[in-house]
Amino acid sequence: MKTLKKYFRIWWKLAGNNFGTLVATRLSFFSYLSGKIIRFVFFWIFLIALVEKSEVLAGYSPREVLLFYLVFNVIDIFTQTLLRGTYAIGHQLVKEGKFDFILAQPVNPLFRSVSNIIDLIDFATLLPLFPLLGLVTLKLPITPNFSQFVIFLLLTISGLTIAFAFHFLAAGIAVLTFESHHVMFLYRNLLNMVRFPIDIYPQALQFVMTVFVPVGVMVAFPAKALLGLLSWQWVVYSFAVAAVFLFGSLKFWNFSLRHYQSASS
Amino acid sequence: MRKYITIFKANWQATFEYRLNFFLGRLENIILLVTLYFLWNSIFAQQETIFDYNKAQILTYVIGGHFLRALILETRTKFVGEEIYSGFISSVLLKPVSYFWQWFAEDFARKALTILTSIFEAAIFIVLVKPSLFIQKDINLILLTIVAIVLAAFLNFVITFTTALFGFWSDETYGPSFLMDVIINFASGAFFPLDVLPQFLALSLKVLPFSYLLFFPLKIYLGQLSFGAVFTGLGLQVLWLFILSNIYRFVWSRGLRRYSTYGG
Repeated sequence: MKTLKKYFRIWWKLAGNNFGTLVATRLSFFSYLSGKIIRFVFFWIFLIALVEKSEVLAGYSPREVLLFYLVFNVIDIFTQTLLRGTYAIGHQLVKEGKFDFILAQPVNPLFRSVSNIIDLIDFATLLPLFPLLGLVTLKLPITPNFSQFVIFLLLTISGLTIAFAFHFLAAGIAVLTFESHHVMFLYRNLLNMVRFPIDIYPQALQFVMTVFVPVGVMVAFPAKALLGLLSWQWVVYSFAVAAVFLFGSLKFWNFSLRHYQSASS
Repeated sequence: MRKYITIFKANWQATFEYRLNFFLGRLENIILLVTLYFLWNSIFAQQETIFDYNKAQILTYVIGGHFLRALILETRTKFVGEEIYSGFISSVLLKPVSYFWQWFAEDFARKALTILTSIFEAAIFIVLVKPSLFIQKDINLILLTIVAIVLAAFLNFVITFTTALFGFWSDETYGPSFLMDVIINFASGAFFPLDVLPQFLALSLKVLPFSYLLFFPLKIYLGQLSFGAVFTGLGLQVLWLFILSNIYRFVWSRGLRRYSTYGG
């Protein structure tokens, strides 16, 4: 409990510092915020126009398609809010020698590195998603029951765990190679594919997105669980993938730390 | 002219220095192509037409959009702002080159490679997936499409370059460039035809210059505009180019007046 409080205080301090930077750069703040809102709204309008005209997309009703889009946004934005620092580990921390100072601090270096930048702009866009998600869920053709809702929550946590694992993996690569944004770029692009129900893709591609790069597990599975379309075997598979990815990414992070060679500081 | 050709050649070579960055950038576009293709493919599994497009037309729009994104929207002008507020522009201002045309030559060098790779990507995609495509047979419409594309490329460059001139007033240039990128990507029809949107929104967007970047050239190619509408649209492209060029000149002259640099 003491450790949790300590890390929360550190995180709160970092968030406060980032907020101070945002306030000092109001133009950037409003530009980025506006851009993210416009992007969301445009896609939202496009999806509504498309599915209401077509009435069904890969077997899903308009509201179900919107559910997939919202779950994608919740997972993507939540991760971006907390772990934006991952993008800067390579070129800002490691290349400039600041990573050595982080290693000298009495705090977990992975936590400290990925939390170095907390994107409060994304946080501002995350909050309205929850009531929107609630509204869309209530207006689904069949309202989910309690157990579907619980499994949805657990699978969302599982999806977030996989997302976090991707970021930890990128952090490890950044420490070894000074570059993290390539891996993150790849991850973000693949994640963008699951804005829509994964069923629009051919089986081979769905397999890749479920087994090799489990972005489908991250986004599609929670949405399907809420719609009562996911079997218990896939639920168990999702938890297993999350555990394996998290374990693997943390192992890799430790490996990268052991092989880290500081240039100077 | 020769100096700009030299700049083009130098930047063409420089593009090959950062191959991984380049290919990751292309990967983003390939993933978008795949996503949009399968999205529309799924829609047309249920019906033959939607928003007055048939399957061949929409898939042609998607693949055409992939190519035109490389040709028209691909730009690095967001770094102009950084060059200005960092003082790098001072060395360029001393040279007998126009900063605008230098950047145009640099951008075109990068575009040249992305155009080649996008053609290659589209070709591979077509061979693998074998989509039904619409092939325009009217040579007049093809020529008019090319004219619209050339004008669109200039238009996008002027818009993004002028946005980046914000660097004369602030070091926060990436934010406005990001916002402009988002607006251009959606309002140009890069992700979907603007006809998909509710009528009031589609009409509002057609008043702005962005719809003439991708949507308008693709509509010409698909033969969905009368010759009258095509020439009106081309006229509007020229008009927007004229207006925005004058805005660029005004912003540039104002920016230069307040620009100062120190140190060696």
